[in-house]
Amino acid sequence: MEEKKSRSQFLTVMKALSRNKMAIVGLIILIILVFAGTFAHVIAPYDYAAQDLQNAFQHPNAQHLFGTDEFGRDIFSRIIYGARMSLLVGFVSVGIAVIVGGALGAVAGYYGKRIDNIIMRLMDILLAVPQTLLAIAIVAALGTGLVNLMIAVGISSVPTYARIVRASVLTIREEEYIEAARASGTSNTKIIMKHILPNCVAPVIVQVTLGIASAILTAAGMSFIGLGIQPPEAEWGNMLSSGRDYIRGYSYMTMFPGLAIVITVLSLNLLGDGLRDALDPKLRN
Amino acid sequence: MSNQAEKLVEINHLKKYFHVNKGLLHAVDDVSFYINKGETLGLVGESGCGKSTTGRTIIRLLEADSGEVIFHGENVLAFNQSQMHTFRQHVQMVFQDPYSSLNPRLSVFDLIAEPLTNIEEYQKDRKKLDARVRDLMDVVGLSRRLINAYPHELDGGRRQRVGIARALSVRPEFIVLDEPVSALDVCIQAQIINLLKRLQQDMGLTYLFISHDLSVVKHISSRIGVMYLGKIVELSDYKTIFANPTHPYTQALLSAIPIPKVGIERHQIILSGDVPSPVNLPGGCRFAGRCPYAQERCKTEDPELRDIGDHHYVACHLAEKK
Repeated sequence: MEEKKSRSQFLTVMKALSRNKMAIVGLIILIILVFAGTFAHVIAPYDYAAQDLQNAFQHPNAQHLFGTDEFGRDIFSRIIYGARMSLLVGFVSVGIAVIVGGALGAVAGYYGKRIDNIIMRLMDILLAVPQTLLAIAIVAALGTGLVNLMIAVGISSVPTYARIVRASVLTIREEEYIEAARASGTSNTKIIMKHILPNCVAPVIVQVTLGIASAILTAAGMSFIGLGIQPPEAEWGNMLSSGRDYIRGYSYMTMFPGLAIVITVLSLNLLGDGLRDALDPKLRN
Repeated sequence: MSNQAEKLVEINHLKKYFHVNKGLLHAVDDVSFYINKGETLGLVGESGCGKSTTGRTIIRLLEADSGEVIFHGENVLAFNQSQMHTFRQHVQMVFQDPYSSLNPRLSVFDLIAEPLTNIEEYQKDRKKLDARVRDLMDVVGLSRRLINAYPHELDGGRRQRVGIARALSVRPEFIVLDEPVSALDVCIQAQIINLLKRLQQDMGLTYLFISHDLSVVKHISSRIGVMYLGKIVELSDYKTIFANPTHPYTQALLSAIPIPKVGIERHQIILSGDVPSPVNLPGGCRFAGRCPYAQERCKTEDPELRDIGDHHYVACHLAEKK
């Protein structure tokens, strides 16, 4: 029963989405990236950390599609492994942000008054600090590493989701079916879970797609300044950082990871924009 | 007859004010009435007169500022959480807009089952729940093939039937019907009214029927209360209200009902002016400013709702005892 409905809804959205060519391009690129990241160990021709000093600084050629870096590591392989890292950081940190921010926003919006005021002022304080700066501060406190990076990026984007969920909850709260649920004796927790949250997923989905893009950017930025994922782990941000010293002679060392970031973020943004239109019933048809 | 009838719900001096920017909005201002077991009390009045707020306050969807609601001898307004839980199974509500009162993401089954899922015996027994929902669909005349349908797939009449089935699911004694037919077209209105009447007879239900449409109220109510600006101005059995309206506002309201007859002469009372704002009301009778019979006394002294004989209550200085 539940399945049938969510499927039909999924199909309507996909149909609307398929009319937007750019969004489909974004979706396809994203699928390829996810696929590449997931099966990196199968697809990548070399190990990301395998050094081959004799073949260092090779320009792109048949053996090394994107060339090699200063230690002779295959850049193509490193980019593919980097996709795994970037997407992992993107999805997990946004996941943290959605769960924490969504819960805070739902509580603030549903109960209103004092609780709303307290939660939202805390969010305002977080929003007042630039996202990257906040992430840097958190990493500085927790230490570097993959998990801490995800927590830092996740926490720094909590306020965005809290705001979005609160705004949708505020409109849905006034609907008569919420009143009907209360008249039925349904508890507040159940009303939030069953009636309110399912009806505010649309704006959250859009923000998630766009949010993953910005989380990837933040994470790459963090790795670039050495606060994120540490070498020899392959990550686009730290690849850019280490290629920086050789940018005059071997620009491909920075160009390929840079392009990877641009393409990933662009495809996520295209998909996000497309989803925004597809999920808005007024813009459909 | 109404003397012997058992009072199921008694509302005493109910008040509900809203704080708005300009001051205090008197939505429900000292309203008292009772509803006998098995009868339908129609509550009529124009938009914004507080009739819906009254209904919502009675079942505590809104918290009253003062007054009491006596249900089976107990004051509902003083109930704690667990008492409210039981109370919700005795009292239900049907909402005005069948489009917004049903969650668009739930199927007909889930919508009707919602009140039941809060009761323990149904939480454990899925089969029982299933059977009960199917029963209810039959009772309200919904085809069983619609059990997995979603609200947007149904027309207004069917949606309202879902709303009624939901209200009936817990076998309540008392149902607040908040303009249950105003959003429907006329022939569907008749179907729903007939359904409500049949259900009342079969199950011995008691209704509080809120509406702005006198001709609808006439068909279902045993007694009618007329509200104006947060107060009940006249309350009597439906025959008396229609045959012998005593409050000038009721007279004007009744004269506004169109009569479907060619060539008939209507004596329509056209009221001058607008309804005054319910925010920061002046003293005296609320209707004085528009009343054709208003006297000096009306502008200073607020009339009490008093019995002028035969349980005919009027809040007017000029109404005379029968």
